[in-house]
Amino acid sequence: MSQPQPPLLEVRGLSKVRTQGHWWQRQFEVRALDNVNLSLNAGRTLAVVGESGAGKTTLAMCLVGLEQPSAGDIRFEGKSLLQTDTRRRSSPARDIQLIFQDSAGALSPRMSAVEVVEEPLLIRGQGSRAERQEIALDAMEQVGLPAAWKNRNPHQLSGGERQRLAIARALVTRPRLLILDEALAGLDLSIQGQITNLLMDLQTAQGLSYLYISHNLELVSRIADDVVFLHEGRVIALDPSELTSDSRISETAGRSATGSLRLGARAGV
Amino acid sequence: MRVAGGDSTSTTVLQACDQSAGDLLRVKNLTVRYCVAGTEFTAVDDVSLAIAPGEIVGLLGESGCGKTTVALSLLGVLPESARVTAGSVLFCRQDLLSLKESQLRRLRGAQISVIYQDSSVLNPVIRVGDQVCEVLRAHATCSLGEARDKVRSVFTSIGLTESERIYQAYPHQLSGGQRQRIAIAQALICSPRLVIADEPTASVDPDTAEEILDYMRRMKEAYGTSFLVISHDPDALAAVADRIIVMYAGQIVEDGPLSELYSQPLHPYTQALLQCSLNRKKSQEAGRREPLPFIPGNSPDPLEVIPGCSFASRCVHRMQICDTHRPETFETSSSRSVRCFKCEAS
Amino acid sequence: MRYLGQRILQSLILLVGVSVLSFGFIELSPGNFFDEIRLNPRISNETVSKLRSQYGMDQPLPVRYARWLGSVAKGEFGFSFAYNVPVASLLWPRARNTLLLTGSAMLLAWMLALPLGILSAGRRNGLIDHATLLLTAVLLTIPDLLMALGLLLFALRTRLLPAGGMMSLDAENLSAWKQTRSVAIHLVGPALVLALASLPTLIRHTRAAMIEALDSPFVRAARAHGLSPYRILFRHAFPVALNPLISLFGLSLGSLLSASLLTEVLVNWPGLGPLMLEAILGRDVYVVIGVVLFASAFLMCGTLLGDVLLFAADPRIRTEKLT
Repeated sequence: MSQPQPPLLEVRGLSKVRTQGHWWQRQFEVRALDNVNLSLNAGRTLAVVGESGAGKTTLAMCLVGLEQPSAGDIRFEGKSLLQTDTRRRSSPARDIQLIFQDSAGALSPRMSAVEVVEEPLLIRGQGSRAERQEIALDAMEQVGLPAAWKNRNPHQLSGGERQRLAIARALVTRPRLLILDEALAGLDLSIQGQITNLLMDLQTAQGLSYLYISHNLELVSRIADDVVFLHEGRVIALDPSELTSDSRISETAGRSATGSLRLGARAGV
Repeated sequence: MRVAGGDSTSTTVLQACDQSAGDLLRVKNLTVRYCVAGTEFTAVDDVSLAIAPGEIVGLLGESGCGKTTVALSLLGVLPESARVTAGSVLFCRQDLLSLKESQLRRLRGAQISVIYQDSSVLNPVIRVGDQVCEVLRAHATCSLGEARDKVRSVFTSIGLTESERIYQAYPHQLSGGQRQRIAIAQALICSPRLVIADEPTASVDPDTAEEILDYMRRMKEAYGTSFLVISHDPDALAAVADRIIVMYAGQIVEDGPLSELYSQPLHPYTQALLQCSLNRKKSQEAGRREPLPFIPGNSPDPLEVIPGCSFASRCVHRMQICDTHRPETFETSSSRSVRCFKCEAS
Repeated sequence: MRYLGQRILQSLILLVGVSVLSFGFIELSPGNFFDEIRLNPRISNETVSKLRSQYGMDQPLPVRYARWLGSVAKGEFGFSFAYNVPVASLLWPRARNTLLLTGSAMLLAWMLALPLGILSAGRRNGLIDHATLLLTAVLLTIPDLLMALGLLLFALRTRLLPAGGMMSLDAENLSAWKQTRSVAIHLVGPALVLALASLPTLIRHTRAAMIEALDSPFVRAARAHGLSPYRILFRHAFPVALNPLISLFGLSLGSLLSASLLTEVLVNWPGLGPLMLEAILGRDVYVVIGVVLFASAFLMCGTLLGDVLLFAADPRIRTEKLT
């Protein structure tokens, strides 16, 4: 019998404390993350849910290395990400990619679409120019952007198309884990549906794992294998099937979890 | 607190509002064209709608369908590249399109106000309390102290506890949800008759979204404020609207009361759009990991002039006439109308 | 506080570096003060050598530098060969005059640039805008030299303004009030020339910063709330446009010093400019180094002041993000 696979991503005791106030003032401690534990197996989707300010984005930032946690450990494929040797950190950085909510802000307006997508390869010095172009165009096709658009500027694209471009950029380095921080918020419903289906297809085809941060419970209940609920930096774990059951949620998670469900219930549809 | 009019126009408008029994806002055949980089296109095409006093109307449609342009033309704050080429906008039976800028300025914020979608609508170097206060003092005559008290009371009623700390804070010291509430306070502080809310729940979490919609309902019940809520999310509108107007590619395709429209949508676009909402019972019954519903095809390029119905290329009920002729608005009952050949036929 | 301390320390280190470089450069330039004296046949070589050793000019460079540092510690900043006094006593009165001139010029320039920039941004492509842009174009093309000469010409022809100098010739005999008035009248011309020279840059930057501020979402929202256009311009757009302008202010403060050199020489304003010119031509090394150091220190103060002002003016820098 084969050994059980270790989880792709494991977070243990992660804490992030911020202090507010200068040294000549009274200082307050704000616990953005408080002893967070979670684990994600390869090829699965873990959703992180919670109200705004609960620490979801801080968690994402720590996972990609944009912020340093105050305590705890993050293990990717069994190896700790928190080693200070930057050279050794670049490898997991390629395997974990982050997609923001507002890619309009994250994509440089001075680059064409194909340049945006091939940029991570350029930074890594991977392949010749022709090879990079090919990989970039391939990624664009995968997300449903026609190759004819390669010279379009990101600002000429609609919101949904920009998010697809951001996903294409995230895919070129062949990551193992994609972190989506409210990546679908604010998009039209039809576009949300299309991009979600795309992500599901990619997961099946390439064995990608997703860490999906959102406060959209309906979407989460449809796509997540496991759910973690963050409240004021602390974790309350839930099973996806329990999301649609009102009583269990109002006990553990409070008002915020039921909010959007109640919006729909009110219309009686 | 009713705002004292600054000049004769707004006083006239106020009197007309108090006396008129009809609609608060009546838009007739509004057409707006943009001229960008030498090319012209129509953003709003023959739009007619009406809002009664104390009514909350939801304007539903995907991004780029022209809903924001409609809102901007009501206020007269269209960008330079836009022109109103046809139609009228009657607010309390005064045509807003014929008013001068100085007259419009007195109405803006005081009688008609807008809650923008952009979260950076607050000036980063001015304290938020002062920003709300100056809107009040621009339209009403009252002392600084009175204005500040009013602002603080609005903060409390809108769900911003610690009203004193928040009054003194700068925008970057507040969370996104708090900033959105400040933007709402700015729009509502002069108790306007009509408030346009542009995607108020798009980038906030469900908690804050519910509170915002709740506040709108309370304003409507307490002061008879009308709202035009623009959104791409049918579920958000379901929580608050009395009537829904559906827009597609610059045109109004369906108009009707909320519950009727949601339970029996007539226009194929409305039907397809509501299918995408995951709150529908049908969606909830679908298993996990099944593909999500969506509308196939792409929304039309605004530069392209389509001879027939603009939704025809994506419509499941497409008929031959849909490709060659534009459907006109057809009233199915006293309260519902739809722009579709198929619905006319049945 | 700690930040301020760091900056001051950095500036001091920089000043030391500047002094070393200046010493080195002057050493590289040919000739020295005593060459002129040597040309005079009536002074013997021994006298020149004795003079040289008296001033310590026969010592190697590092020794001279060390002795100069000692002089700095004493507050003398070296010794002027031409004037026969410590450099510091020469510098301070001249520096004061230069500061007076550049300070007034700066004030005048900003007082003109800000309203013009704001108003032309407020009504883009309006009458004021076109007139202002024309003005900046014209001012940019006229060299400082020409403007200074034009001033002198104007002064001589019309006698409305004095033709140079800082005070009228019988100044010492006048009362304090009359003295001040005399200085003020003499100040008008050169300050105006300097202000006009720096005006185009300031106007353009103000206009650009204002245009950017006026395009922001919060200005759109302010219009939608029915605020008056003047309130939007001055209360909303201007404070935001101030950010890049404050940085510009810090930098222009330093550069004004070098700009004034030419004008001071032409109108005979007793500032650092003529002193510097004289010292360079006459190889009066310690004076040159003194002036260079002063100019560098001034530039650093300017940028530091800019940063402090930025801290005070922009709440985003001053206060912390709380959530």
